[in-house]
Amino acid sequence: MKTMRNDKISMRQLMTIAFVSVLAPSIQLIPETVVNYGGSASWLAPLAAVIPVGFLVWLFCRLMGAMKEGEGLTQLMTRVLGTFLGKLVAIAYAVWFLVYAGLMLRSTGERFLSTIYDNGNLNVFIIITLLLVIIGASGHLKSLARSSGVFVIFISILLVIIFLFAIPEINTENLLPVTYLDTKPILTASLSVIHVISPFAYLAFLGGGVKKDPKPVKTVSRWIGLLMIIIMLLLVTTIGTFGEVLAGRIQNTFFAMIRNITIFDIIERIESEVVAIWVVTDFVFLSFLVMSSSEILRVVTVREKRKGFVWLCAGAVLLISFLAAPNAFVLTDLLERLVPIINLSAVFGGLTLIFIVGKLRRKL
Amino acid sequence: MKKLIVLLTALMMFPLTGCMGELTLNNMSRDIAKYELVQTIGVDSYASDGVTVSVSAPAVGDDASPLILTGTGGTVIGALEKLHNYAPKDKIFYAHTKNYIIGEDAAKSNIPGYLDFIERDMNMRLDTALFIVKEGTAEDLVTQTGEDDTEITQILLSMQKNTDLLSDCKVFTCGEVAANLAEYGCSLVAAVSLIEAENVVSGAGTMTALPAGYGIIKDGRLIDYVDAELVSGANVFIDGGMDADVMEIDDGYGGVMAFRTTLTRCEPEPVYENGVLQYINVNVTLTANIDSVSSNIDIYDNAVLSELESKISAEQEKRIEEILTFSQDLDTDFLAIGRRIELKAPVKFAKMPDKWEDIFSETMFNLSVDTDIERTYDMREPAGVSGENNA
Repeated sequence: MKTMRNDKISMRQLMTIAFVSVLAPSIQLIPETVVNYGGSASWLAPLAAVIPVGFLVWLFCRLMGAMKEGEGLTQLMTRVLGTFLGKLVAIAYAVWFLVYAGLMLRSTGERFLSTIYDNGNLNVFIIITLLLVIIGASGHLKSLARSSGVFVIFISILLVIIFLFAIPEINTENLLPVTYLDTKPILTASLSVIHVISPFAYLAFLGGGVKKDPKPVKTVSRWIGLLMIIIMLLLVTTIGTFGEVLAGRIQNTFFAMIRNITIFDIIERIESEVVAIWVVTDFVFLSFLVMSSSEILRVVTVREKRKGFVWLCAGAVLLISFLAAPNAFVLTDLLERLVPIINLSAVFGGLTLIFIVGKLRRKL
Repeated sequence: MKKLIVLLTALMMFPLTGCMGELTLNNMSRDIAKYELVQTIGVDSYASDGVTVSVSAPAVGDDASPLILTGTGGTVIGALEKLHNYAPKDKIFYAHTKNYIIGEDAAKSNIPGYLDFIERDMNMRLDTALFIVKEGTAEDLVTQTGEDDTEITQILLSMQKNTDLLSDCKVFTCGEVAANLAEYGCSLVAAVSLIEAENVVSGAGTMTALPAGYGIIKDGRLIDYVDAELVSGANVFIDGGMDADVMEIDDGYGGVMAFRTTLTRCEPEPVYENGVLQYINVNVTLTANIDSVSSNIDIYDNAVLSELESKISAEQEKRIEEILTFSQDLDTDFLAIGRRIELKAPVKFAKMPDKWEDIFSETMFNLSVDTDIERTYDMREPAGVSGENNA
C-alpha cells in the first residue's frame, strides 16, 4: 500500500509542471503584448524582468518552506490570516483560478480554429480538452508531474528544432536599435513577461504534495531561468522575423513564424503539428488550475477527497468558457488587459501580503 | 468511471486525426492526390470594387498539364473559393502558394487591401513572394505564360534563383512588404513584365515573364517604378539585392570587359552638427572579378587595373546618384536610407529637430565608391594574344 509520502513529488517535478504550464500563456501574449509596449527592443524585456521574477522565486520558496508537513498554501493562509479570513482569501483565489482556466480553455479552442480548423466547432475542442483536464486534475499530483516530465522532453526538442530553423528567417536589423531611450518601453514590456511567468507561484496551493527541498531557490531558479531564456528566444525569433510592427499585429505570431519555416526545402507547413503538440501545455496548465481550485475547496470544506470538487470546478470552467466572452475579440481583450492585472495583483500583492502578515504575526 | 472517460475521450480524438475521410471533423481530411496544389495566385481589380483572381497549379505527373483558372468575386478569398467548382480534382489547396502577383491597376488602387488576404488567411504564408505586373494584368501573366507542362510558377521561381547571378531585382516577400509599409509607409516590390519570348527561349511566340525593376509603393499604392537601368544603383542599398552582378565596361583599348561584381560594403554615414543632420556620406565598396576580356589589355599591369577600378567606381557612382536623385524627386525613401542612418546613430536620429520624412528630399549625399579588382578566372590572357607584345 502506498503511503502519503510516496505520493509526494519533488520540487524539481513541481517545476516541470510550472515549465510546461507557463508555455501555454507565453505563446498567447508573446510577442504581441510585449512588442506593443516595448517596440523593437522588447526582446530585452526578460532581462528587465529578472529582479521581479527573482523576488517571486524567493517569495515562493519562502512560502513553500514555511509550510508544515502536508500543508498547502490554503492551510498556510488559514494559519496566518485566521480561519475565516484565510478560507475567504483562499476561496477568492479558487474562483480566480476557475475564471482564468475558463478563459484559457476557450482560448485553446480558439487557437485551433484560428490556426488549423477554420470552420471547426469550438465546442468540440473545448469539451475534449476539458475531459482530458478532468482526468489530469482528478489524478494524483505525481501523475501530472510525471506527464509534465515527459512533455518537457518533447517540447524542448520541438523548441530547439523551431529555433534552429527560424534562425535563417531572422533579420538582426529588426532587433535594433537599442538605446537608453528604450529603457522605459522595455520596463513596461517586462510587465507582460512577469505576468506570463507569475502563475507558477500558484503551485504553492499544491504544496502539501511536495517534498521539502534542501535548496529550493536553486531548483526553482534553474527552471524559471530556463523559461525566461525561452521567452527571450521567442521574442528574438518572432520580432527578428517579422519586425516590431508586424509582430505586434499578427495574431498567433509564434505559429505564423512556424508557418514560414521550411526544412531543407523538403518539409513545410509544420504549424499544425506544433499546434497539436502545444495543446499539452494547455492540458497541464488547466489541470493544475483545476487541481488547485479543487484542493482549495477540499481544504476549506474539510473533506478527505477532492475528486467531487474536480467535477464541480470543471463544470464552472466550462460555463465560464462559454459565457465569459461572446467572441474571440472580447476574449483576447480579457486575456491581454484584465488577466494580467488580476494575476500580478494576486501573485505580487496577495502572496506578498500573506508573507508579511505571517511574519508580523510570527506565524511563519 | 475513469476508464469510461478515458475510452470516450480517446474515441473523440479519432475525428481530429484527418485520416478518416467523411467521418473526420468537418471533413478536414486531406488526401494530397485529390488536391490541386496551387502555387501562384494573381489578383486584378475587377469592375468598380471587385477582384479577378487567376491561379496556377503546376502539372504533377508525366502526362499532366498545369491547372490554370480565373474567376471573379468581391474579395480575393471570395473569388478563390468559387474556383473550387471548376477544379477537376476534389479541391483546390492554396496553402502551398509560393507567388502572389498583383496587376498594375490593382496595385495602383490598394496594395494593403490585397495583402490583407495573405496576412489574415490561415492557409497563406507571409514568406510568399510578391510581384507586380508592370503595364499588365496578373491574369495575363498567369494564363498566357509557359507552354505545355510549364507555367508561371516555374518561371517566377527560376527568376528568383537567377538573382544570384544577375542582380535584376530582389524578390520581396509579402511579409517584408507589409512590414515596410507598416513601419516606413513605403516599400519596393519586384516588378515583372509579360513579353513574347522570341530569341530567348526555344519556341518563339511563347509568352514569358521577365524582371522589370521594382514597383514603388507609397501610402498603400503603386506610385512609380524603378526602371531596369536604375536597379543596379538601387540594389546597393537593398539587403540581398546585389549578391552578384555583371558590369560591362569599355576598357579603353577598343574592347568591352565584363566584370562579375559583388557588394562588400554600403554604409550611409550620417554627419550631424549640433543635433542637425548636415549630410550623409555614402561609402560603397565593390569587389570585381574579370570575367571577359575582348582586347589586348594587360590585366597584370597595376596602372591598367587602377584605371579599370576607377571606371567601375565611376559607373557605379553614376548609378547610385541617379537612384538617389530619383528617390528624392519622388520624396519617397524607398531605399530605407532613414532606417540605416537611424541604426548608425539611433539617439541622434530620434532627437533630430525635423522628422526624416520632412527633410529626406533635401538631404545632401556625398558618394564615394571604391572598387577592388581581385582576380580573373581560368584564362590569364586573351586567347590569340602571344608573347610579350600585348596591349
